Amino acid sequence: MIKLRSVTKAYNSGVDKTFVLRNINLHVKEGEFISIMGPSGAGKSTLLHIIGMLDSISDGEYHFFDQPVHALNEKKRAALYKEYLGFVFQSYHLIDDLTVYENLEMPLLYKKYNSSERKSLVCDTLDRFQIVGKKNLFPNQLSGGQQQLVGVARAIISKPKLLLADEPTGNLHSVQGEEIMQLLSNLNQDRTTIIQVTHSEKNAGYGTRILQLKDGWIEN
Amino acid sequence: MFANYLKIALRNLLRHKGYSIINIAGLAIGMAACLLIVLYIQRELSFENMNPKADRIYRVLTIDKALGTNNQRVGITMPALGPAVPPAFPDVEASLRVTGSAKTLLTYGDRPSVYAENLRMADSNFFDFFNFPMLQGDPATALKEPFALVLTAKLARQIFGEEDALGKTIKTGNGNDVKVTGVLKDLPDNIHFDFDALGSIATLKSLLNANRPPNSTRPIWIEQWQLIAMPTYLMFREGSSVSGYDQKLTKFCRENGVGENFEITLQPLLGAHLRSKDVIMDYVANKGDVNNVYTFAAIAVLILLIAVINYMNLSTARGAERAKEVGIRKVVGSLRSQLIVQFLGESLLITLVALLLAEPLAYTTLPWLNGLIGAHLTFNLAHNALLLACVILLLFIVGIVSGLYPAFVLTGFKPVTVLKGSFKTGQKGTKLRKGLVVFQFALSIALITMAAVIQRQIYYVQHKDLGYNRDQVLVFDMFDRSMGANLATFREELSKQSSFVSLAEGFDVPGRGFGRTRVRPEGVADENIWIWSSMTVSPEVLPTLGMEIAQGRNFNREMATDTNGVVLINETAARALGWENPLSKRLYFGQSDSIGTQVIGVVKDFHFTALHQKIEPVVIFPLGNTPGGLLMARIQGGRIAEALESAQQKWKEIFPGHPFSYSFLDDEFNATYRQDINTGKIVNTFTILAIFIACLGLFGLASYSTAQRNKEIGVRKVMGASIGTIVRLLVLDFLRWVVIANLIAWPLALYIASKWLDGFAYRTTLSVWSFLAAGTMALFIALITVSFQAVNAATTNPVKSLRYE
Ligand SMILES: Nc1ncnc2c1ncn2[C@@H]1O[C@H](COP(=O)(O)OP(=O)(O)OP(=O)(O)O)[C@@H](O)[C@H]1O
Ligand SMILES: [Mg+2]
Repeated sequence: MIKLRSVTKAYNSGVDKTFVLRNINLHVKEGEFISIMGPSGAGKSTLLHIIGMLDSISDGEYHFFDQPVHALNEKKRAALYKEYLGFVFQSYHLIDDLTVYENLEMPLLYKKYNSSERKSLVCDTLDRFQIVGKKNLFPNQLSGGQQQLVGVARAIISKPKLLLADEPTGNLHSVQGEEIMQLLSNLNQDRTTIIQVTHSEKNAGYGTRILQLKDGWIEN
Repeated sequence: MFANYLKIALRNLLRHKGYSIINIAGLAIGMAACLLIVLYIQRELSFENMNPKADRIYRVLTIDKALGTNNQRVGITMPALGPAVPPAFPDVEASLRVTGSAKTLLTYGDRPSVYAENLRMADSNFFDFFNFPMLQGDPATALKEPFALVLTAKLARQIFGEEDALGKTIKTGNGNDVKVTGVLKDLPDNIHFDFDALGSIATLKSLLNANRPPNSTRPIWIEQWQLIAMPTYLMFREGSSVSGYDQKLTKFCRENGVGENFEITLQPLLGAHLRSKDVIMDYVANKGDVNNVYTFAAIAVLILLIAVINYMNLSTARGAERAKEVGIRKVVGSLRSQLIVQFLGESLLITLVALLLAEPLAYTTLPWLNGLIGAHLTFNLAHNALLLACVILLLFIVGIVSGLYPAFVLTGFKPVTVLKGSFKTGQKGTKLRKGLVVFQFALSIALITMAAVIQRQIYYVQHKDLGYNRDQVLVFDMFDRSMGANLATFREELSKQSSFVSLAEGFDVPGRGFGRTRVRPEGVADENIWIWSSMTVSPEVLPTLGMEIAQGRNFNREMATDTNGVVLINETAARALGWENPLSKRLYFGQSDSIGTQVIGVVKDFHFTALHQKIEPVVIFPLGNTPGGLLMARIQGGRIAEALESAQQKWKEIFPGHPFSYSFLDDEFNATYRQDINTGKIVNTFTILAIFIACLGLFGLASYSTAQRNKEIGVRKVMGASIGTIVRLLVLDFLRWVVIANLIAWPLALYIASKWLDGFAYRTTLSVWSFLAAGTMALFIALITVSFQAVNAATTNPVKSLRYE
């Protein structure tokens, strides 16, 4: 599904180049659940953003289902992204002015669903995440765990093939964190490929494979 | 999708009430001002546009190139020119002459007499040129016969009451019987001239012929080439070109023996209202100024710009919040184009809300504008396609321009950058915001300066020593021969009243514009044609108007020789000829004059025309024993009511058939500057609006930036800074920018103000104080606005702002 070959990411800092990712080679098959670990500043988020097509690479090749992502223009990349990917953030990133229901509905607005399809998808998802009772609340009326629940729900509502999660439990205490990890695990069993970044060994254990990242290198 | 955008937009509006109010109020006021200005400009441009032939009609103006004149365009031309042009030039379909207007007494049977305020005479084809709808009578023939008279409906009602006017005979003040041949619907107010009664030129011709000396060979004046006297219009054939006609007509005049000093120039009828400010003697009742149209259009744009900048500023200030939304939407699959649509939609929505408020605002303030410009504008979107178009255009232009920043800058952020957590656009847009605030204030300061300069000039005009004293002077006009015959009696009766200090008869009053006459001064070569303004008055005019003798003496009523053959001149005349001692000199009038007239005195220069024009040489003729056309009466200080009462009483005795009629000289003077004064008032009002809107924005921005600096303020306070230091810190930052704004505004204001002042031959200096005052005022207003926020922030308990972090 994903093939990274000699991927490098560098930032220009003054005259020098700072390398954040160096010579990354990575294959991900459909159905995998990968956990990326490593010390702070290792480049985990950067790697996730690159896989998520939110960031571009400086050198190397990135193939997604045989599409050369590195060679695609912004629009094509966005189309690819829209069709296959979902993203979960450490700090949830819900839209404050929209209710839970509307936050969930939003991704569907950008895809080809008519209003009744949208309605049934949102209702299904609310059901599945057991947050029907919260559908008319605004994000600031929810606990952190509940917000992240909505965050995950929003990411998977349009049934992405690949779910990317950057420290999804980072801001949550352990009980809430476990709930979220259980949820990801269930999604993985339903054939969603998942790549998460995590600092916790325990959370990494939910996955099928662990990648250690250090100073931009993958350690095996 | 749309519902989602709308929800976001509305919730945003409601959640940030302060910002929303500032934005909407600013835009609403800005757009209301804009709509009013559109109405004003629309009216200014609407003159003559009810006339289907307007684009083919031209006014014949004469440029007098003689020495002693300012070479202005003159609104009249040779009386013989009009009728001679169509036969000689196939391009010209027809010509029309209309005389200047005269207040005339009209009496029908036993009914009370009524004045026609503006009676004019016109050639019989008047209604071919100006198709004013006629309620009764036939426009084609109404002005054919001598002693035919067409009335406006209003005047007809005054004269006849409910009785039918058509075909009735009425008597004029001069004792002529005239027949009503037509009744016109009352005239629109957007035409360049004004009349309430229209007689036929045939009347004039028949009267002139009747009074002609039996064996005179000279044609009557309305058939002469040797003088300029008649407002004249030419109608060109459809498709013909007027280019080159200035020269052709000038040449045509030469061929008919017109003096070398006259040149002809044609003015499109459609420019008569807006482009005649410099034209003298043109009987144009309603003069606009194309520069005012430009000025007000510019002001409309400036005010709108200031309001739009508020919107842009506040939305960049709040950019961080919206940037997060942009990031999220992109992450869940939104295209940039969809986000641009969303943000533009949002600013369109706000603009729409503002527009809905702007309309009633404009509607309710319209009577104020109408009062100022003396018009009857109405705010009616259904009947005014242009206004409707402007409203729609405003919505889209303002909506889109104000949405440009959020739509194109915010949506350009990469979601990773925005969502990484510590993103703050607050810093990013700071430079832009400060730049925009500087720009806003520069515009406001330029407007304040402009307003200050206009006020200063108006003050200057009203307080300048004119060389005569216009206060407490009454003018009684004699409207016909019967009145003129009794003027001496009237004067004598009034002179017995202690409330009158001094009384003078004459034909001319400063401020009304003088006639002109050709002069051959002693010692000047024949080819040097001098044309001077002339005034004919009794000796008492000097004390009555407070004019002074610079050299020599005034006319003396006791000296029989002073009734003829002597004149006074003004200082400009003496200076123009380089005469050291004018008293020994002679002036010659007319070709056959070999005796000449002696200059016996020089009066100090006085402004007999508006201060827009330079003083020209004047010759003052003694009235002698001729009855004058008017009486000037100086009233003793503070006894105006008493003087008016006794004048009315004497008037009733001496002119029993004429309703009492008078005017104050200073009112006439003020009327000359009415347009300038109104321009000043309108500029003032819009300046205040502009500043208000700019302050709204500054207030919003100050509150935002102090909110952002709350933590810094908290830390400083914990470290022991006093409230004073903190306020100073916050305020100084803003004030620095206002100072920079001044530096930008001044050259701009200097340029515009000096352009405006160019319209006056006599003008106030551009004082540094106007500029400093404007700058200080802006600084002061900004200070109040910002301090309010700063004090608020500085006095908040620091723990509050530091607790969350
Ligand atoms: N825009 C940028 N310009 C320059 N350097 C950057 C930029 N963004 C990230 N970096 C650098 O790239 C490196 C990797 O950052 P990244 O966010 O991927 O780390 P991480 O592994 O996710 O760390 P953490 O566990 O703290 O989230 C860091 O050293 C960071 O300073
Ligand atoms: Mg990270």
